[in-house]
Amino acid sequence: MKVIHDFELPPDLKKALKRAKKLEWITLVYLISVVIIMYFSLGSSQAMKTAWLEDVLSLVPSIAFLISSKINSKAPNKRFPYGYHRVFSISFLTGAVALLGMGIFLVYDSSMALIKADHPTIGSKMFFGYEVWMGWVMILALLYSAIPAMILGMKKIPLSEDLHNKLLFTDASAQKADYMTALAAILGILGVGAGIWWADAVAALFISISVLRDGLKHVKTASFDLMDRYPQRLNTTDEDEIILKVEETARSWPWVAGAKVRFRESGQVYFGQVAVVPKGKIDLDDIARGYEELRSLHWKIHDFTIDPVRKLPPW
Amino acid sequence: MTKWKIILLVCLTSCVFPKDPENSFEEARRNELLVGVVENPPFTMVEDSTFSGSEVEMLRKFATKEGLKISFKEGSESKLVKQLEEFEIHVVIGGITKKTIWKKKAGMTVPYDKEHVYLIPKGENRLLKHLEDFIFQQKKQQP
Repeated sequence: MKVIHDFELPPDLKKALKRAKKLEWITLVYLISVVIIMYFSLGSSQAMKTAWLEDVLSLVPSIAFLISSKINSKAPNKRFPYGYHRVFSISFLTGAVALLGMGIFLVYDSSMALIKADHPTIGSKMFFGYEVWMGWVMILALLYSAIPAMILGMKKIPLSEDLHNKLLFTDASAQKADYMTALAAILGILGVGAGIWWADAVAALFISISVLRDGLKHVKTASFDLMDRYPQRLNTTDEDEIILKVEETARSWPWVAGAKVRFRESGQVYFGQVAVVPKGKIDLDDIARGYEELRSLHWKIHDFTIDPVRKLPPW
Repeated sequence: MTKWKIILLVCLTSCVFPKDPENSFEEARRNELLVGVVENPPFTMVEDSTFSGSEVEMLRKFATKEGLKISFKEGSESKLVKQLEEFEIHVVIGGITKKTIWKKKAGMTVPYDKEHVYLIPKGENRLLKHLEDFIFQQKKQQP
């Protein structure tokens, strides 16, 4: 019985992964340009600073995804007998902790700007012989940081769902929601222009709270995955019904009196155990056939053992 | 139609944009432009309450251009910056460079000569716009 597999995605998902990688490369190049452009238009606006730091941080998931998918494709070996799947869980947790830390800092920083009644000073600069108020430049930079990001995000979300990849999903959904950040910051700057100094700090606080909330949500999901929670579908609290199907299938075998299964998420795929109470004598061929049948149910049902038992375990 | 409305809106906003949250420029227009002077020759010199020096002359020119009355008063840097923070005066001059330690407490204009700036109350963006208009204009005239 062969238990360890090289990790192979079905052909259509291999294509999806390739596309996702390509999109992440585009994202990376685009985000670097955003970070540079935003940096030069920052000025003393708190909202711009917050939006900029969020953009810097949004580099992490793209980089993590590209590195992780390279590591993840390696075959299991003597040192890593379960393969490299968990690399996704680790980078997801790391990214989530970074986001949470940044969220806490930004909430503090923006609150202080509000408490100290810090009036943002926004001056003018010469561009090709024209004097331009930097507020307009900031707004242009923010639009550049939001619109392409939204398009990239919307393209990546379906891919992340197909691939059951949380890192990709987090990255994509954050980018899709980036227009909220940009809109808040734009309103903040327009507010400053209209003589409302606190508009900027309030916009910054709004952005900071959304960063903090995302950080908390992702740290929770990432920790639960690493604690081997029952696998859930992406972005839902629904338990994955594929596992129920595994249990039903095992129960339907004529040589089985009862069956119970448990699975855990290991990056994109599931690892687990199938406990069966056999009727009469065990035929190894039955187990081998059953193993192949369960594996063919779904590509996510990746690595598991079929354990014949006298009595079904309590889990 | 909507196109024209947008253009009109942009024009209108760029005329009144940005505003001063604490109305420094309006005040200067209604009363006078209050300039704090830190003595630092050759930029600023004070002799028996007569003020002279390159920066004093420049601000006088600015006041004339904008049709403002102007009054100078001498003080230490820290005291004058404190008054800026409380929106009591409008500008502080005295050969202050763009790397000044007061960056956090006061706003500043673009350098008028690559290095030296004027300090203004933080966030008084209309006053800043008028000052910078003047600085850019001066730069154009004498490159």
